Amino acid sequence: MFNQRDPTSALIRDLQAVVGKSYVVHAPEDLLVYEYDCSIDREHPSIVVLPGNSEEVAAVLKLAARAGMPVTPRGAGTGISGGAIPVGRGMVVALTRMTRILDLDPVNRIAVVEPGVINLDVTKAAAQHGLFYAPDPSSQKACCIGGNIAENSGGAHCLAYGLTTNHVLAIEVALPDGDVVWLGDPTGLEPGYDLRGVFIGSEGTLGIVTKAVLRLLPAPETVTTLLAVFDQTDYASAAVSAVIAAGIVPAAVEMMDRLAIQAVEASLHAGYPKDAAAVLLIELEGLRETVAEQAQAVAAICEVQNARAVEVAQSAEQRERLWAGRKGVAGAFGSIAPNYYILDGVAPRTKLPEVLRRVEEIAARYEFPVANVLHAGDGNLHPCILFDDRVPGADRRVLEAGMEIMRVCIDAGGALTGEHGVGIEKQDCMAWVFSEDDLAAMAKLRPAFGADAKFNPGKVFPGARGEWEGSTGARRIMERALAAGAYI
Amino acid sequence: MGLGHPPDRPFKVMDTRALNRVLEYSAEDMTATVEAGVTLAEFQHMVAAHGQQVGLESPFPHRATIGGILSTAVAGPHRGALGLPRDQVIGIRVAHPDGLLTKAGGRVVKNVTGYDMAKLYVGSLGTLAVIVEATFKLTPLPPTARTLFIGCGSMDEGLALTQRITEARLQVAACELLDAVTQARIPGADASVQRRWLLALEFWGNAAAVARQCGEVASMVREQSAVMAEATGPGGQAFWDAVRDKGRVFGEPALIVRAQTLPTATRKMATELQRISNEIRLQPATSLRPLNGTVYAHWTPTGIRQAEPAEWAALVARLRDAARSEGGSLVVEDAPWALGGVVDVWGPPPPSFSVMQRMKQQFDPERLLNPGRFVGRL
Repeated sequence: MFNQRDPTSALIRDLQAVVGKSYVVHAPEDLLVYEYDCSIDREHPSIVVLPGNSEEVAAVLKLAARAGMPVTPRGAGTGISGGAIPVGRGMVVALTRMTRILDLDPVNRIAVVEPGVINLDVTKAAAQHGLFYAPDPSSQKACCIGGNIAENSGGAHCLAYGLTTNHVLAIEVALPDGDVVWLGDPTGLEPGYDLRGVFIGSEGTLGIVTKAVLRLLPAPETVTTLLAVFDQTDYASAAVSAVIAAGIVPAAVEMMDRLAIQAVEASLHAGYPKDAAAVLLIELEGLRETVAEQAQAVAAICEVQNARAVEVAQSAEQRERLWAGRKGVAGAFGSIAPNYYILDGVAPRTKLPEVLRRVEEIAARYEFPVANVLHAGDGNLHPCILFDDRVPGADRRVLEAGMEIMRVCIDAGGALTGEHGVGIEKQDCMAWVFSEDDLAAMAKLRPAFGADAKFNPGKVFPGARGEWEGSTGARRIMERALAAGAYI
Repeated sequence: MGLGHPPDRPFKVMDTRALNRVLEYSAEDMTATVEAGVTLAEFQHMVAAHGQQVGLESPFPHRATIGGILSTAVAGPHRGALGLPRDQVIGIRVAHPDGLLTKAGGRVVKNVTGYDMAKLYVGSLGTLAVIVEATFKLTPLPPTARTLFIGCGSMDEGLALTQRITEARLQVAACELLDAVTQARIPGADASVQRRWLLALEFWGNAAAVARQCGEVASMVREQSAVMAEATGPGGQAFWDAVRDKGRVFGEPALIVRAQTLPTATRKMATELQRISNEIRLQPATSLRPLNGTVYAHWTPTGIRQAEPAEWAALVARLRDAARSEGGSLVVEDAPWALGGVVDVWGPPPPSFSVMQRMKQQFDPERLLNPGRFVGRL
C-alpha cells in the first residue's frame, strides 16, 4: 500500500540538504534506538530525520510525501500506547532537537515553546516569575510538549487543573502535506472551528506540532500534602469519594496499593508504611486559609473512613520524597518483577471499589500479581501486571488479562484510556466503546487535515493490521518487556 | 439566531427545545448528561441543589439552551474561574445532516479514547452537526461569593487597580470594568460608588480566604483614594446576571461587538474604541474584562438608526483592524436586522481556513446546516 518503505539515495541526499547530514539517521545500527517507545510493540524505521525548526519540518514532510513514504512523528519516546512506533516502517520525524522556549510573557502568563521542550523545563523557566505549567505527567522530567499535545497528557494534578488541552491556547502545526498553519491564537478564542482542540489528543495522526502557546498559572500560595494510610483498599477508595462529596477538589489524589507500596519502599524509600493495604497521597493547593481548612476536613474524612493514620508532610523535602515514591513507582516495579505491563483505564470514581475488586479477581485467575496505582480523584487507574516473559505464553496471557481489565472499566461506565492514548495498544478495543458510525465521524478528521494512510499509519482506529504488512522487524503482540523506567 | 451571518440560502429553523430531558446526573461523580434543549437555568438549578455548578454562562439563562450555548461557545465574565465552555464538556452526541447519530468522549472526567470530537462541535455554530446531548463535568459551588464595587474616576484608574490585583496574585473569579452608560443599564452597584467607571470584582472560595482578599482590595482602594462598596444579599448575583445580559433586551437586538486580545492590550483596544467611536460621534456603552483581554461595545437600536448601515460596517471593520493589530480578533455577537448581512460578523478567516473548509466538506457536504452563517461564510 506504500510506494516506498526504504529511502533512495536521492531522498537521503535531499533530506540531508534540508536538515544537515548529521541529522539524517539511516545506518541500521543507529536506527535501533528509534524502534521502540515505552509501549509493548516495536518496529524499525527505515530512516530517522531530526529537523531543527518549523521550516525544516515542513520541507521534510514535503519530501516524504513526494516519495510516498510513511511518516511517524516522535517526541521523547515516553508514550505507553505505541504512538511513536513506525508501523509500516518508513520515516520517523523526531522533534528532539526543537527544544527552544521562544517566548515567556509573565504578564499575559503565556509561553511559546517548540515541541521538543521537556515538560518540566517549562515550569522551571516560569518559576522565576512565580508561574508554572499545570499538566504534569509522571514522565515530566523526560516527556516533551509535542508528545504531550499529541496524547493530551494528564498527570497527577489534572484533577484540579485539567488535561493538556485545557492549557494549550494555540499550536503551529505542519500538516501532512508540509503546509504550516497556526490553529487557534494566544487569546484562546480565535473565531472558527476549534481545530486546536481536535488536534490535541489526536496521537500524532493529523500533523506535527512545531510550536505551542501554553497557558501558565500563578504558583499556589500554599501546598499541603497528606499521606493517609489504610488497612483495606476499599476504605481508601471510599475516602476518595467522601472527600469529593464534601465539595473539596484537591489538586491531586493518588492511591497506591500494597504491592505498589512494597515496590516503592524496596527501591525508593519514600516513607510509605510497608504493611499498609493502601495509601492515599492527597495534595491541596491554593490560598492558605482554604488549604488549612481543607487539610483539616480531609484528615477528618479519612479518619471517619477508617484511615489507620493521616500524616501531613512537614517540609518541602518530605513532600518531595512522598511524591518521588509516586512518580517513580513504575521504575520501582523493576525491582520486584522481571517484567510488568502497565494498564490505563478509567472508571467513575464511585465505582472504583468494585472495579478494583474485579481487577484482583482477574489477576488471581490468571495467576499474576497486580499492583495498583491510581489517579483516584478522577477515577484513572493504572493496574500493573507483574510477570516474567521467560515463561512461555506469559506475554499473551498478560495481554489477555489486561484486556479483561479494560472490559471491566468499560462495563463500569468508564473509558479505555485516561491519559496514555489508544495508539496500537488499544485500537482493537475501540469497537467496545464506539460504533462504526462514531468511528467514521472521527475518521473524517484525517482527510480534513490532509492526512492520508501514509501519515502515522496503523494507529487509533481498529482494523489497522494491514499496515504492518511488509514490515521486517514488526512485533505486533507483546514480545518484550516494557522499557525499564517507563512512567505512569 | 443572534450570532452569525444570515443564512445564504432559504432555510428552515429546527427547534431543539423539546429535547429537554436530563439523562443522568451523578452528584457523587460530579458529572451530568443532558439533552441539548435543557436551559442553562434548569441545569444550574438542578445541580445547585447538590452544591454544584456547571461552568457555563450565558445571557438569558432561562431561555438559553445547552445546545445553543455550546454551539456559540462564548465565554462569560467568570472565564478565569470556570474556564471556557469547551473545557466543560466530557462527552457529546450529535446528529449529522444524513440523520446518523454519533457520540464521542464519555461520562468520565478523564478520557482520551479517540479524537476529542466535542472540541470540534463546540463553537462550530451548528455548521457541522447538531448537538443533541452533552455530558459535563461539574464543580462544587464556592462556599462564599462576595462582589465588590469600586468607583473609579477614569478607565486608567480602574486598569491600574486591576494590575495591582494581578500582581498581588489575588484569585479573582470575575473582573469587569464598566463605563457610565453601561452602569446606567446594569443595576446593582451602590449609588455611593457611582463614578465615570466602575470596577466590579467577585471573589469565590473559603470565607476567610475571600475576606482576606477583599481586605487587600480595600487597602489598595484606600491608597488610590477610590471608593468601594459591597453587594448585599442577592445583589451580587443579580449584578453578574445583568453583566452577562449586557443590557440586551430580548427580541430587540442591539449591536454588540466583542474585541478579544491578550490582557496587556486591553487598554489600547479600549482607547481605540473610544477614539474611533468619537469620530462618528456614536459612543457605545463599553465594558472591559481586563484579566481576559476582552472589550465589549454596545450600541442601542436607537443609536444605530443615527447612522447608515455602511457607516456601521466601516466602524466594525476599523475596530477589527485595531484588535487584529494586537494579535486578536473581533466578533459581532449581536446585530439588529438592519445590519444583518452588512456588517462583517467574523472578519477575515483564520490561517487554517482551508482545513476548516475541508472539515465542512467532510461533515456537511451539501451545506445543509446553517449555510453561510459562520466564519468565512462556511
